[in-house]
Formats: sequence, C-alpha cells, structure tokens
Amino acid sequence: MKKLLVVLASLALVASLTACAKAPTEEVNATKASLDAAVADGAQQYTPEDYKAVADQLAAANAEIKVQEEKFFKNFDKAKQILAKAKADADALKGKVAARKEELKKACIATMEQANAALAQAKELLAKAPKGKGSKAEIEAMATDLAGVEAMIPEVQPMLDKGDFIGANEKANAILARINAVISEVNAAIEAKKK
Amino acid sequence: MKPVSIVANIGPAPRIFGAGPIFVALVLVCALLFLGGCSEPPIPSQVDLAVKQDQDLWKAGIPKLVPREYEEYAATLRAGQDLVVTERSRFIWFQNYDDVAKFFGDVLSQGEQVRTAARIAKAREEGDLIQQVAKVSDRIRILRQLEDNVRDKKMSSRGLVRAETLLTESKGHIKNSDWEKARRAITEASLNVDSAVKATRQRVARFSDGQQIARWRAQVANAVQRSRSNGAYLIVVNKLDRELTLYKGGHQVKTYSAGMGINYLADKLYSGDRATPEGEYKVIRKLPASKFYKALLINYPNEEDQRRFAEAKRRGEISKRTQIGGLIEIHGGGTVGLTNGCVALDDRHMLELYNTVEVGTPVVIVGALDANNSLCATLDSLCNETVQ
Repeated sequence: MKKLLVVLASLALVASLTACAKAPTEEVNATKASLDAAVADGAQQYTPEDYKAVADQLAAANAEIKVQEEKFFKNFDKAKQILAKAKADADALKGKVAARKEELKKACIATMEQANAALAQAKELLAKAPKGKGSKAEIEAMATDLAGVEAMIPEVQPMLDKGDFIGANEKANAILARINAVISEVNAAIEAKKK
Repeated sequence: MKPVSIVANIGPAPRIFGAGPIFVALVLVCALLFLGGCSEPPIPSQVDLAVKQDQDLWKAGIPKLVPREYEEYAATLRAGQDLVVTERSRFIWFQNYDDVAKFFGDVLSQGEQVRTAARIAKAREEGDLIQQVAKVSDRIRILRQLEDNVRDKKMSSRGLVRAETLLTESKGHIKNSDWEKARRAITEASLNVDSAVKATRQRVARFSDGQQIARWRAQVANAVQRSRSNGAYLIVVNKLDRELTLYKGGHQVKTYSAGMGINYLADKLYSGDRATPEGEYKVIRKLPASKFYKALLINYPNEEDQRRFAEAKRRGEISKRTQIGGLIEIHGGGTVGLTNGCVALDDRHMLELYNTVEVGTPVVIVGALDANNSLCATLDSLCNETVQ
C-alpha cells in the first residue's frame, strides 16, 4: 500500500509539473489569422518591414512551442509572451496598412489637385500667348501636348479605386511634371516673343 | 561547521513512508531536472546574426529582386532554425550547438551571396530598363526634332506626349524597383511612339513614294526645259528642302531658303488647311506693298487644284460649305515664321526676286526631288527601333 502511495505521489508530482503546460494553439491561430488579414490588405506591399517583423515573431513563437513540446517539463510562457506581442502587432499592422494607403491616396489626390491647377494655368497661358505667324504653330503644338496629357488625368482615379495607390501616385506625378513642362514651354515662347 | 548532507536532512522521510531510497532518488532526479533546466547553454551568436541578416535582406527588397535565390536562402534559414529547435529540445546535458554554429555560419555566407546576387540583378535590371527608357526617349527626341526640322507641328500627336509622360512614370517605378510596372509603362510608351511614327509616315508617305517623286522631278525637268527653250525665268519651290530656286534659260540663278505653311507637307486642298499647294502655277500679280513686305501672287487654284477639290467634295472628304481658298503668294516677312500656305522669303531675297521676275513667270511647287530624303530616312530608322 505504501509503495503504491509513493508511486502515485511521484506520478502526481510529474503530472503537476507537465499537465498545466498546454501548447498555445489558439493564440497561434489567432495571430496567424490577424497576419493573414493584414497580408490580404496588402501588408507585404505597403508595410513590408512591419509585416516581416510580425511574421518573424510568429515563426519565433512556433519554434519556441516546438522546443517546449519536446521537453519533459513544458513551459509555454515564453511562446505565449511572444505570441501576445505578435498578435498585438499583427492587429496593429492592419491599421498601419490602412494608414499607409490613406497617406498614399491623399498624396495622389493632392498631386492631382496640383495637376488640375497647373492645367488651368497652362490653358490660361496658352489662351493669352501671342499667336503671330511665328508662334501660332508652336502654341498650337503646345495645346496639343497639353490636351494629350489632360487625356491621361482620368486614368488616375480608376487606379486609386482598384487600390493601386503606388502606381496612381507615379502616374499623378508624371502628369504633373508634364503639365509643368508645358507651362515652362509656353512661358519660354511668350518670353521669346517679347524679345 | 559540520557539512550537512541532503540525505541526512531528509532523514525522517523513510520513517513516514517506509520506502526511503526510492523517494530520495525521485526527489533527487526531480531536483536535478529542475535545477538543470534553468541553465541552457547559450545559443550561438550566428543565429541572431542570421535573423538580423534576413530582416536586412527583406528591408532591402531582396525577395523581389532575386526571389528564387532568396527563397533558397530562407529555406536554409528555416532548416537552421529547426536545428536550433532540435538542439534546444534535447536534455540540457546533451545540447551541443557546434553544428548549429557551423550551419548558421553557412547561412550567413549564403545570405551575403544572395545580397550580392540581388545587387547584380538590380544593376542589370535597372541598367536594362534605363537603356530602354533612353531608347524610347531617343525616338521621341528624333521625332520632335523632325517636327522642328520640317516645321510641321501637326506631327505632334497626343501619343507622343503620352509616351513622354509614361516614360516619366516608368522612371518612378524603376526607383521603386517595381520592374514589372516600369517595363509595362516603357512598352506602352514605345507603342505610342510606334503609332506616332506610323501616323507621321502615313502623313508624309508621298515623300518616299518613288512614283510621286518621279512625277515631281518630271514637272521640274519639263519646266526647266521650257525655261531653257525660251530663256525665261522659272521659280521652283522644293517644299521638303524649304528652298526656292530661281532659274533663267534653264540654269539655276539663285537658291533662297523659304518658309512655308503650318501644314506645308500636305498638298493644299481647301481654304484654311494651311497647306502649301503643289503644282504648276504662274505669277499673276506683283504686290509692291504686301502685308509681308512685297509679294508675288500666284494663280492658285489652278485647273488641277479645282478638279481635286471638286473630287474631294464629291467623295465627301470635305464639307460642301468648304471653299477652295486662294491668295497664295510668295512674299517677304522672313523664313522663320510659319505661313498659312504661302511661301515666305527673307525681305532682301524677296526684293531681289520681286525685282527680277515679271507677271507670267512660271512657278513650280513640288514636295521633294529626292526619294532618299532625310525625312524618310529618319522615319525608316525610327520604324526599325522598337523596345521589346
């Protein structure tokens, strides 16, 4: 009887040291789900460094879980700690992606506002530009150029609508640069005419 | 002080359970396991360095630059991390990180190789794209130059502006290392230049048409022959060369540089098309005080012009209300500006010509006299360069 008690006590001791340590599977799944949601929102494209940090944390947590699972006395505290941070960061990542997209969208809209203002300025300059025999053709050519670049303006909004914020910004910047080039050309033609 | 043994301290236990040696052994094992578990050997520094390296590679956009090489590296890194897991899973007395350290040393080397490969790939890709941008830019420049040289601003097309804007856009994509978007923008720009070249070629096709050139040459040769026969003056205007040549008795007397209409490469068809007419005309009036210094009015439209105009109207190519136009002159005012279809000379040359020729002097206006003219040669060269 006493021997049995000793064995039981030993088993209870071992069980007490091991049974409470359960792998944090739910936390892993929750973190992974948050990270996947951020990836679906474009985390890899818009906040690549933040994405990588969270993905690395998740990998580290998984590695720690594997280590503990092999141990006789399991302790998942460290894994849980890493996962808690990873989950919080993954949740924040979604917000960061949205913020980055918003930032790019605002920048694009601001550029397009500048482009439209520059377009109006260019049109006004062209209307005022002297159209003598020497400059009429040049002014007309500039007007053609301006019309060409103006035709590209409507291409930006669909890119924003599709979520191609980086591409939309590049196009907006290129359009603005080209309109400004036309303004410079018109001004140069006007100056040349004055001389 | 007398040392106290653990066994001595737990002396009462056997009295309680009557199984002293087993209990003591169990407690000792547990104590050793517990105490031993607190001090795992340190993980080799190479492991952290490799993790940091991976983050740096990611930050530098290397997975996008050399995806295959990076994936291989990442797989090796993962294998290394599995090694660490395996080692850490061992009982601490049996943990040995020598192999891990060596493995991660190799991972670090592989990472550096990936970095180098990415640097090379980036330089190659950027170089290739920049070269393509330069190639398309060059074609645009040549086309713009051509417009300037032939002073035909009608060549300017929206396509050319679009191409220029797309190239600017592509430069932004290159800066972002977004090769795919850059390539797409360059290809679209190139296609736009192709269209502009094609449109220009169609517009000036007559200038490379051997039969047309032969007809123009024959017109001039016949007129020169007549001048030779009757010893009279003859004015020949070569539109593409922007030259007016004065003949007498079949011999060239003088050649003047000439300005033309905004749309001078086209053959004049109707009022307001700003084209300079082509054909055989004569001076019908001398205007001593023209708006542009002095002028020689020619008999545009002649019979051929009227026939073409009527034919175009019949075919519906021009509206019924359109007029054929007139008042085409050779006048002064300088060659720099663009006329609405007249031929313009510098005032001093106009004075010479005005004082030399009389009413009735034949005027032959042709598009070009050389089939291998610079316009066609340039367009041919532009046609042969397309970005792949």
